[in-house]
Formats: sequence, structure tokens, C-alpha cells
Amino acid sequence: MLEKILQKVSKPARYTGGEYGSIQKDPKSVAIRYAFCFPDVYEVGMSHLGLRILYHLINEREDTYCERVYTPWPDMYEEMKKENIPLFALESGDPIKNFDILGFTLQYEMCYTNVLRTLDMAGIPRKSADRDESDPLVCAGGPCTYNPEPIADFFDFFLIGEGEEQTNEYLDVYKTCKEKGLSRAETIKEISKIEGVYVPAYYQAEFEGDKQMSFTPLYDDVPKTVKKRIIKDMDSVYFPDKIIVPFMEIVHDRVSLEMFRGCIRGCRFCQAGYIYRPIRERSPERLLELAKKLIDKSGYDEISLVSLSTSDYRKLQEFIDELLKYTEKRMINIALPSLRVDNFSLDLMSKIQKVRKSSLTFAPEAGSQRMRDVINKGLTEEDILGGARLAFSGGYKSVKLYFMIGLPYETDEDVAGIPLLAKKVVETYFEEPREGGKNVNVTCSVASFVPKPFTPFQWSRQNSLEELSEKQHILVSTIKSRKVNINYHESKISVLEGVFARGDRRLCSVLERAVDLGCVFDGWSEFFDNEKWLQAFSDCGYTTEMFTRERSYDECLPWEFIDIGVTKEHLKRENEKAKIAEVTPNCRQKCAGCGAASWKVGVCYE
Amino acid sequence: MNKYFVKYGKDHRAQYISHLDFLRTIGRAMRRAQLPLEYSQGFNPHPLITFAAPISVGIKSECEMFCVRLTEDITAEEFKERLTDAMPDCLPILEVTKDEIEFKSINSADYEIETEKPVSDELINAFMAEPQILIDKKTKKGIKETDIKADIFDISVQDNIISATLKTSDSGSLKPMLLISAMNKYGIDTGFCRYLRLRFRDTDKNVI
Ligand code: SF4
Repeated sequence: MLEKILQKVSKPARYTGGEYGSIQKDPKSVAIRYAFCFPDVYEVGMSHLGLRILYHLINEREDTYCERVYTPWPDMYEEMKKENIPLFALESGDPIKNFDILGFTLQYEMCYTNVLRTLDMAGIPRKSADRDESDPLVCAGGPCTYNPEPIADFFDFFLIGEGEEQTNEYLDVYKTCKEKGLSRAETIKEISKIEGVYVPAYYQAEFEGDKQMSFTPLYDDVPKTVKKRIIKDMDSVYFPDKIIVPFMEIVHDRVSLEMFRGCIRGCRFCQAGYIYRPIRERSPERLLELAKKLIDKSGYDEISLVSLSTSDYRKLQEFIDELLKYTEKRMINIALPSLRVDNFSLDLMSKIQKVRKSSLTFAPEAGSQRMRDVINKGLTEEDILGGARLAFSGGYKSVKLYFMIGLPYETDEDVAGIPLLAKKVVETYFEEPREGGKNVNVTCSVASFVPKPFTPFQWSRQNSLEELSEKQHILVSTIKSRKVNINYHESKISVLEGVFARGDRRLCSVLERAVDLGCVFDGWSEFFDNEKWLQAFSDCGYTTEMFTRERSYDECLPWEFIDIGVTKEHLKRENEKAKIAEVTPNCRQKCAGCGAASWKVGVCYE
Repeated sequence: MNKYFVKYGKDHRAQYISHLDFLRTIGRAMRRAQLPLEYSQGFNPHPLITFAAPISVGIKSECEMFCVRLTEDITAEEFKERLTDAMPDCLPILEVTKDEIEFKSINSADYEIETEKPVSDELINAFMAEPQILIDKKTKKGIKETDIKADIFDISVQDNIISATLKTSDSGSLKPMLLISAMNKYGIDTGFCRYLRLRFRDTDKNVI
């Protein structure tokens, strides 16, 4: 049957597995069958580093067979439905309904409809409350689970924080429970005792009007707060020295090596900058060892060094020099995303790139200096123009700049600052007599800001579609220059992303309704259907404004029961400083006392 | 001479790997195996690798071939051992030799087509007795009705296995899927089919 439909669908290699580095085990020889579910299409899911780490980590266990599941593309979904084929795992082709555990990783809110589609296709009841002993346990981890409430009904438990240690802990517990023949409910109870595990069914949320009024444990032995998990030592933590090498091209088709976790910067809009605090580095020795093994075992000709802000790695120069000794001989390219634009990085880039990219990218995030101070970007106009000058003298003709609009405390002047800054960047090219001025080009890519939990802007009102479209108008009408291009994104998706980012349990019904109306793959503009979503909201008696509105400091925020180390006091302080455009120095300049030092690791103790 | 001829297979999991994907895959496998590819000289160097009659997506194979040059001289046995370890199971390395194989001499390929519904001898005979077998064929200039009868060198059937020798050469090839479309068009109901390429032959029908 499957063979038959594979002849009809687009990109059948998404569903066949068999890639180099994928793991084959005898299902009869293991105690636990685990389906690692990434709720997006193969090419996206395969690119994700977290999945790549945990896939191999779980498969290191002899007692567990971890297989991959991606969301079938809509054409495959139709064919599978027609032929009544239940969703299967890539490695064995077995239906995942019969597995022990389904573990989802949730990377962005717009994949939530795909989670329900995955469960539907597998033949597993959507709601935790409706599952019985014949169903697998369904759990989730990943950045979205820092506010798990909008999807609380669909998961038996959540894994909050970094998963490398916790995963083995709950698999051990699960195995013991299975051997003892414990029930589903008893097993979940046992797993809930592990730090960082959150079982939504153990808590009750109460609402009044737009607001969540309270969030309380239903039982005495359930903790009021759930502490995120954090890896203390980045050198000893598991990192695979082999990876799966897909046949078809995927989004990030290269070796990805994580240099460090966390960030010292504290940009006020950035959730990753807070939830992964404090910054913890891998040693250059360990990085080098991993890089060599990964390159040799994968056969890739490119390695990407990933982190939130690569320039902040303390021994960057030293490490790159060592790495180059290895990669140059082998014609391996090094990619360094997230670099700041300064002398040092341009120098570095000219060293590592065999073929120079034609355009240089950097992210001022906001157009006016005031606004960059509001968001604590820590970048002056002189830094940006200086970077542009260096780029142009280095031979670049085109510069790409990333910005956001709809930020809190933003004025029309701040928005107009974006095209004005782009114009100043263009002008730096002509400060010196240079040829080829005709081809100089600055592209601004402008996203709509989405307030996220656990940031100083978690209380802010998200801009409405009308406000955003007015601001987009300012962007394109402020200056007329053929050398400046302005692109902005579809803001309807941003509004929905914001709703789910800061939403609460009431959204579970909206999500279900949206899926029933046919919403799926919402992160893909060709499938995103705002009309259906609006209908889902109105069918359930809610509006998007209920969730995008401003919150007060004393309101009960749906995600507050999670303890990330960073205190609410610190976030409030940062929000107050944002209002008066006051910057906060980074962790290495001066500790701001954010609370993350309670983890007793990383930069706080350097 | 550091020139190697490699024969490999494609199992059911590998049948949807496109030619471009296979090229990337083999490049990475050669790196993993530390088999140093020789590159062409010039402005845009590319690895010196050539393929015998590239296969279409959706066909399994037991006879795919490519030829590659290395910058190092090793034995064919060592080459085979190293590359085998570096390949995914679904693309088994069947044979490596340094003896010249003339890809240009390939003139046809044997296919085994497994049909969902059994096809009788009589039907096949009647089909082959048609004065011409016309079917829409995609060509470089667009879709064109073509007579494919002369491209079917040999065909026989046993229950639900059709064995066919089809033209496969630089000057044009007949894909087994097109043969099945033609049979369907001429009233033979095959149902769903699985395709397997077994071997190549030269103009004298000798196996290559
Ligand atoms: S406690 Fe200080 S050094 Fe540590 S993460 Fe917070 S601000 Fe940075």
C-alpha cells in the first residue's frame, strides 16, 4: 500500500528512511519503542540540531529504539487517508500507535496544528484525558514548552528545559514502571517526580473575562512551580559524534556544532536570551574533537558553528585557527552565523570563506538609537555604519539588515528610523571614491515583533494588524531610493504566533477547532488560512485580542509556574528600564543580578 | 590508472533517490571512506565521475554503475571495502573493478516488472502484434506521441512478473513505466507495478 502511494506523492524520499547514520534495531530486542516526532516536514525537521542530538542519545540505550516521525506533507496525508494507512515511523515503518512513547519537540508555535494532525494520523486520541492503556505516552519538550498552557490538554507530560539528562531519567523510570506492569496514570505519576517534568492534568487554571485568575495544583504532593532543567557542564554532556546524512536536500544541509548555550547580551525581546541563561561554553578542545569526528563520519563539506551570538565565544580566534588547520586540507567550509559585524569578524570571514558571499548580513533589529536602547541591543549607529564601511571596503556591494516593527514603546519616528538607517548605510559607500556604486544595495528585512514569555516584554501589548500595516506604510513611504529595498513579513501569522506564545489553556479548544476546519502547516504561507483561524476563535467564543493585550505586573501569567532561574523582579526592572531607553550592560561587563546565578554555573561564576 | 568502475544496487528504500541526490550522496560517501576524488582542471572544478544510463526515480536496481577517478592508487578490493562501509545499506556496493567498462556500448537493459494483477501470455502477444504502439512521451521539445514498439527488444511474462529488455542508450531509452502506461492504454490491466533493473546489455545482447 505504502509503496503504491509513494509513486504518487511529491518527494517520496521524505518517507522512506534508510539514510546513512540512521539507526536500525530489531524492535523485538528492545523494551521501549520511542517515536521522536517533529511536527513539520522532513526537510525542516531533519535540520534541527536538538532532534539530532536526542535521536542518537536515546539510541545509545540498548533498551530503547528511537525512530523519527515528521508530519506528512498534505499530498501524502490525503493519500494515506484514502488508503487508511496509519502514521508510521521512518526507520521500521511500523505504526506509532503501538509505540511506548511519542516525544514531540516544539520549536515554534505555528507547528501546533501539525501536532494534532500527527496524533490524528496515528490514531491516538488528541486529549490526554481520552487516552487509555493501549495508547503511547505523549510528551513534549523544546522552547515552546516554556509556555505549555495553550497545548496543555494534548500532552501527558512536558519536559521543561534542556533534555540531555532528563531524557534518560524518564526513560529509566518508564522502563521500571513497564516491568512492574503499572498503569498509564501510575507511570505518569512516577515520571512526574523527576525535576523539570510538568503534568498539566495535576493543575487547575481558573479564568474570569480575559484573564487567568489562578493556577493551582490539584493535589497536595504536586509542586507549585516546575524548575527548568539545565546542563551544568557542556564538555561532559552528550553530543553525538555521528549524524544522519539525508539523501534529499534539507534546510540546514551541513554539520551543526553547538558552541555554547545561553547568551550574555540580554536583548529584551529575545526569549532564547533568557530561558537559556546563564551562558555556558564548550571548551575549544572539546569543540575541536567533535568537529573532527563529525566531519569525518558525515562526509559533509561544510560545518556550521551555532550559538546565539558567536562573537561572544571567548576563545573564538584560537578555536577557529585550530579548526582551519583541519578543514583547509579537506576543503571543508566553515559557516559562522550570528557574528557581530566588526573588524575582527570580517577578518575572520575572509579567512574561512573560500567563496565569498556576495552580501553581508547583520541585525540592528531597530532603526533608531532610542529604540535600540529600548530593546537593549547594545549596538550604536556608529557600530552599524562602521560595520558597513568595513564591508564595503572589503568588496561587498550588498548588505542585508534585519529589523523588527511593533516593538513596545515604539513611535512612528522609530519606525521611520529603519529606512533612514538603510540610507545612511548606502551613503557610507560613497564616502570614498569607489567604483561600481551603481550596484550598491541595502535590503531591509522587517519582521513583526511577537512578545514572548520570560522576557521583559512579556507584559506588552502586541500591535494589531492595523497598527502594523500603518507602520509598514511608514517603512515604504519614508524615503525613495532604488538602492534601498524594504521587505516585510505577513503579519497575520505573527499575530497568531503571539496568541499562542502567551496564551492559556482556553486555546486548546481553539486549536482543536482550527484543525477540524482544516488548518495545518501554518508556518507555510501557502497553507496558512487566517479566515479559518478567525472562525475557530469565534466558534469558541474568544478573540485574538484577549491574548495579545497588555498584562499588568500583578496578573497571573499562564507560564509563571515555571522557574527559569531569571526572576520576575529582574524582568520587571528590565521592562522599566526599557520605558526610559536605559541599557543594561552584558553579563561579562557587569552582572545584572538576573537570578540565573542560582544555577551555580556558567558566566555568573567565571 | 586510478580509474574505478563501481557497480551498485538500489533497494526499495533507495528507489526514490534522484540522480542529483545520489551524486551528493556518493560525494559524501567518498569523503567518509577517505577515497580522494580527482577533480577536473579549470575554472569550475568538479569531481571526475560518470554514470552509466542514469536510472529514473521509482525503480530498484541491481546493476547501476559509475566510473570515478581517484588521486590515489589503491586496489579495487580496498576501494570496495572502504566504500561499502561508508554507504547506507540501501545502496549496496556490488562490485568494484579497474577493468574498463564501456558505458557507451550499453544498448538495452533488462527489467523485471512485478504487476499487481497477473498478465497472460496471450495479452502480451496481442500487444506485441500491434503494428505500432503509440504513447505520449515526454521529449525535450514537449510531449509527443511516439511509437515505442521498436524499443521493446524482448518481452515475456510469467504470472505477475513481466521480463522486458528495453532500449537504453545515449540515443534514447524506454522507461519501464512508459511500457506499462502503453500496456494499460492498449487494454492490459496491470494494476500497481514494482520495477527492478537487472542488467545492461550491448548491441549483441551480451551482458555488460
Ligand atoms: S546572574 Fe548575572 S552573570 Fe549570571 S546570567 Fe544573570 S546577569 Fe548574567
